[in-house]
Formats: sequence, C-alpha cells, structure tokens
Amino acid sequence: MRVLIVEDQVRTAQELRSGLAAAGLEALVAPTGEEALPLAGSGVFDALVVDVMLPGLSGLELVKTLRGSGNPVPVIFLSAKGNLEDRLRGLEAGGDDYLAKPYSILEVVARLRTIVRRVQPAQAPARIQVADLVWDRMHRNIQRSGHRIDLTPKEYALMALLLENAGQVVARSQLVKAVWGLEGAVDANAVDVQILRLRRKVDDPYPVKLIHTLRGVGLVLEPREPA
Amino acid sequence: MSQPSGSILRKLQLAFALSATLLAGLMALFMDRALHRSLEAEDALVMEGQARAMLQRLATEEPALEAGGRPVLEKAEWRVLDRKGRTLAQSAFMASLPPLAVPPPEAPAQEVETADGRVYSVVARPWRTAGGDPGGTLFLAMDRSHEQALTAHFRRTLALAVGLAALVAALVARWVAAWGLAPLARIVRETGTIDDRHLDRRLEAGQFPGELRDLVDTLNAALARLQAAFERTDRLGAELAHELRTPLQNLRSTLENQALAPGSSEAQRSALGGLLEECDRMAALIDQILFLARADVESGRLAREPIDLPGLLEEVRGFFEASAEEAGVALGVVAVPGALAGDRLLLTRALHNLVANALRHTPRGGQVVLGTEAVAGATLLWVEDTGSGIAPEWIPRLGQPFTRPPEPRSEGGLGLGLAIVARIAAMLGGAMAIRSRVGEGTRVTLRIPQT
Repeated sequence: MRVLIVEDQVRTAQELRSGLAAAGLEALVAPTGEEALPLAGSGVFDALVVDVMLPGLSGLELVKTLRGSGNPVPVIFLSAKGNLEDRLRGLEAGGDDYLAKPYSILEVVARLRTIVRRVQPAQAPARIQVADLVWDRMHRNIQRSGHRIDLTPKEYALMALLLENAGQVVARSQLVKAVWGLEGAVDANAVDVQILRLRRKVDDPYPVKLIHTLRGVGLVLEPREPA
Repeated sequence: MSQPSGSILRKLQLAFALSATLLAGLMALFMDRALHRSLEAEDALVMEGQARAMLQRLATEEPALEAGGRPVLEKAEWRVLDRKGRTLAQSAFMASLPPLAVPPPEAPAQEVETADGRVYSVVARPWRTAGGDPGGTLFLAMDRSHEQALTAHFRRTLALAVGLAALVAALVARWVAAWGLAPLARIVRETGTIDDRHLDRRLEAGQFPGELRDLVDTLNAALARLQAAFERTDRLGAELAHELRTPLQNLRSTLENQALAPGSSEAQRSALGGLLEECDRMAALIDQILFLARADVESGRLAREPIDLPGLLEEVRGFFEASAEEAGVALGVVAVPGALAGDRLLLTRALHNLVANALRHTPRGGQVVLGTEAVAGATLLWVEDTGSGIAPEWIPRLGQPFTRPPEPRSEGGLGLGLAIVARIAAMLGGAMAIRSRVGEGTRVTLRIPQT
C-alpha cells in the first residue's frame, strides 16, 4: 500500500513514515497542501494521511479540491485541535476518517487498512488457527484444544479483533473502538478489566499463553511458551 | 440619590391616578364654585326684580298696606315694616320667621335657616311712600333649598367623576405601562437566548422605540466585545492545543516506534511502555483542561441528534459491566423510554465520568444505578450509588476544576471529572445537581431542558 503523508511538522511526518514502513506500508511525505495536490491527483497513492492545520492550502481545502475534481482516494485527517467541530468539518470536507493527535501509529495503520479495504474488499478467511486455538468465523465459535470457549459479545468482539490481526500488535485505542465503538479517552480500568476477563477464559487454563500486553501500546495475539 | 427599585408599573399607576385625581378634583372645585356663583347671581337678579316691583307697589299702594291690604307678588315671600320697625304686612310664610334685624343699606343678601332646615336668602330694602317719604323696610325672602339640593347632587356627581377618573387613569396607566414596557420585555427575552454559543446574535435596533435604542446599542456593543474576547480565547486555545499536542505526538511516535522495533529487550519495552502510558495520561489531561478552558469546545456547533436514552444508558452500562462485576457491584439501568436531542459523544463522556466515579467509591456488595426520566420540560439523567458519599461541605465545590475531597489519590483522579460533567450539562443548556449522604451514597443528576 502506498500512502501520501501531508504534514508540515517534519519530525511528526518522519516518525509516522517510519512507523508505517515498519508495518509494511510505503509512504511519501509532502510538507504542504500545494505540494500534495499534484501528487494526490497522480493516482499513485492508495490513501492519504492529511494534517488539518497546514500553512497555506489547509488540509481541509486540499481534500475539498480533490473531491471537487472527482478524486475518491481514501483520506484520514489528523488534527491537533481534537474537538468535535473539527471532526465534523473533516468528514464534511470529504475525509473518510479522523484521528486526534496524539494518535497511535498502529491506529493509523489499522485505519488505513480499513479504509483501503473498503475500496478494495478483501476476502477474509472463514477459519483462523493460532496454536491450539481455532476460530470458526461463520459459526462464531472459538475453541482451544477442542473445548469451546464461551465468550460474552464484548469478549468475542475483542477476541475477533485480536485474531484478525494475529501476530500483529493491536493498539488499545483500536480495541476500544472495535469493542465499544468509542473514541478518545475512556476509563482505562474498564478496558483493563475486560482484557483480564478474556485472558482468564482463553489463557488461564492453558500452559501456552496467546494474549500478551505490550505496555503502553496494545495487545498482540501469538503463542508464547511460558518463560 | 438612589431610588428604591420598585415596580415601574406600580409607580406609573400611582402617578397617573394621583394626577388624574388632582386634575379632576381641581376642575370639580372650579365647577362647583362657578355653579354656586351663577346660581347666586341669578337669585340676586330675580330678587332685585321682585324688590323693584314691590317698591313700586308700595309707593302706590301704601295706604292699602296700612289698612292691612296685601300687595300680590307671585312667588315672593315678603314682609313690610314701618319706620318704627313694626310689621305692617307679610306673606304667609314670612309670618313663620322670627323678627329680622334691619341690615345697613346696600348690604348683601343674608342666609336664614328655618327650624325645619330650609334655607332662605333674605334681602332688605328701604321703601318710600307715594309722597316720597321714607316708609320703613321691605324684606324679601327666597327659598334656596332646591338650589342647595342641586348643589349637593352636583357635588356628589363630581366626586363620583373624580373617583372614576382616578380608576380609569390607573387602568390606562397599567395598559400604557405594559405597552411601553413591552419592548423592554422583548430585549430581555432576546438577550436571554444569547449564550456563549450564539454570541454572534444581536438585537435589531430598528425594532425598538427611540428611547430604547441607546440601551439596545449598548447591549449590542457589549455583545460584540464579548464575542471578540471569546474568539481570541478560541484562537488562543486552538494554538495552545496545537503547541501542546504536536510535541506530545512526536514523543509518542518516537516511543511507539522504539517499543515496536524488533530486537529491543523486554526491559527496554517495559520502560518505553511506561513512558507511553505517561504520554497518554498527559494527553488525557490536556484534553480535559482544554475542554474546561473551552479551548477545545466548538463555539457554534453541537450535534443535536435524537438520542434514545435507555439505549445510551445500556451502552454505558455495557462499557462498565465487566468492571462492576469484578468490583462486586451491581450495575443497573432504570429507564423509561425517552429521547433527547443532544450530542451523543458529550453525553456519553459525562455518563462515563459519573459511572467511573460511582464505581470507584462503591464498596463490594453495593450497587450503581443509571437512570433517566422525563419531567416537565426537561430530561433527567442520573447515576446513583450506594457508596461512601460526599461530605456536605464538599458538595457545592465539586464541579469546580481540581476540586475533590481529600482521599488517597487514585490513578488519574485530578478532580476534573465532575467539572467536565458540569460543563457538559451547561453546554446542553442544563445543570448538574449532587445529592449525597455520607455512608449511604450519592446521586448526581443532569437536568437537560427539552428543546
């Protein structure tokens, strides 16, 4: 996937770019809206990540111009203002998604994958296996070592997200959005408790642990032998 | 000198009624005097005519008088005295009157009241005989009782008229005042609709009477200054948000990339993770402070979508369900079906803060209930717990930023939660109320007016 980052803050842009690169996304940085406009219109990029506040041509104006010329390239807005109105404006200008700073780069990657998938639907596998855990997506059935694990709807949603991204780190914010449909600051304790309870059902009875916390970042589902 | 600030209406009414009474009273007084004078003048004229006729008669018929004859003069009561003051002749009525003193010549008419209360006007004239010799005194009397009655009736009518005038004046004053004060009421109504989200609204000076233009212009000027100040704060807030979040973003991205970099040790990851958590705490704090400083709150637009309230409460309950179960607290919803036009994100945020607070302060075995009900003109949303309660002296201060009762600081607790809830209630045009009893529990209610 090729991504155009439109961001005037050099440091911010570089970190985002290397974060995307680590996740296997190729990215180019344009520091102004004026420079981004011909690049975005070239059809080379699968998605745009656009800062709302840019000197000169603002992020909003850039996307409006693109949409005005019939360019449907998926856009994620990034904003340091983080208020409700800014978000509305971003979506009205033709943005597909919106993230408030400070964002998690993992979250940007996840959202980029989502909006690009929206354009080019990918076939999700009906059955996923990680170690002795088997997920039958069609029947909403998760088993470990042949035993069905009974999950509440929220636990199931959390587990499904981790399984879809097996082996990859899932940001906490991504998890909160997938399980509760919420964005922004939420009670951290409630999220921790939800993860704890899932772990109890999925990992506690088994020697090989699957759900691992990456402190400050998120969760990853992968088999790890006990230390 | 500062006047006591009573009701303008009352003052106007009183002033109107007083001036009407005064004017009508003065007019009545003049009319009464004029009537009295003209009646008197008319009487004097009539009596003068009668006197002249009698004097002429006496000059020719004096002998007849001395002989006890009666000169006929219709509608007059008379008495004729000789030079020695003896009564020569008199009409029947005059006979009932006591002897009358002879007044000096050219004296005005005198009033005589009879025993039965009738009032007579009496004049005296010297009369002469046919030969031109002085004959004595002629008295003429005229019954004035009917005039007295007329005057009394006239006065009663006047008094009634004065009273009526005062009453009408008071009523007119009431109407005039209400009519005159209507534009003021409109100013109050229109300025009442202007809040921090509608500071671009102005009163239309052209709609108001000239006397109120100055007031309207002054109000508009004050609004313009407020709006400018708010816009400056908004701009400052946006810049502040940008200035605070940009370095935080750089810090977070660097830490995140490092934490995810292959080959870093477990210890390094844990240290980086700790820093990332601090970053997120700081970001949350910046969010809260900017929210309370209005810097992050849009000036004009709040979403006003219809929100199914029982659904919203269920969602919030769902978010905290696992925490409540772990804490051994029953978390329930008591909701009647209802909807509210508002901003879902804001309401969710407020309820999350309240439930998180309630769970933090409710011991195992207790319960937390989310509720909603409709009352006249408003929707109530509340979160009630059977927790430790809040000391009464703290209740009025909660809702102010960085204010919380002294207790071991739990994670992230800066005392901003309730302040944010109070702000959200205000943004939706409502208010927050706290009822609490130490050892029994707390109920925080948001009252949101229906729009």
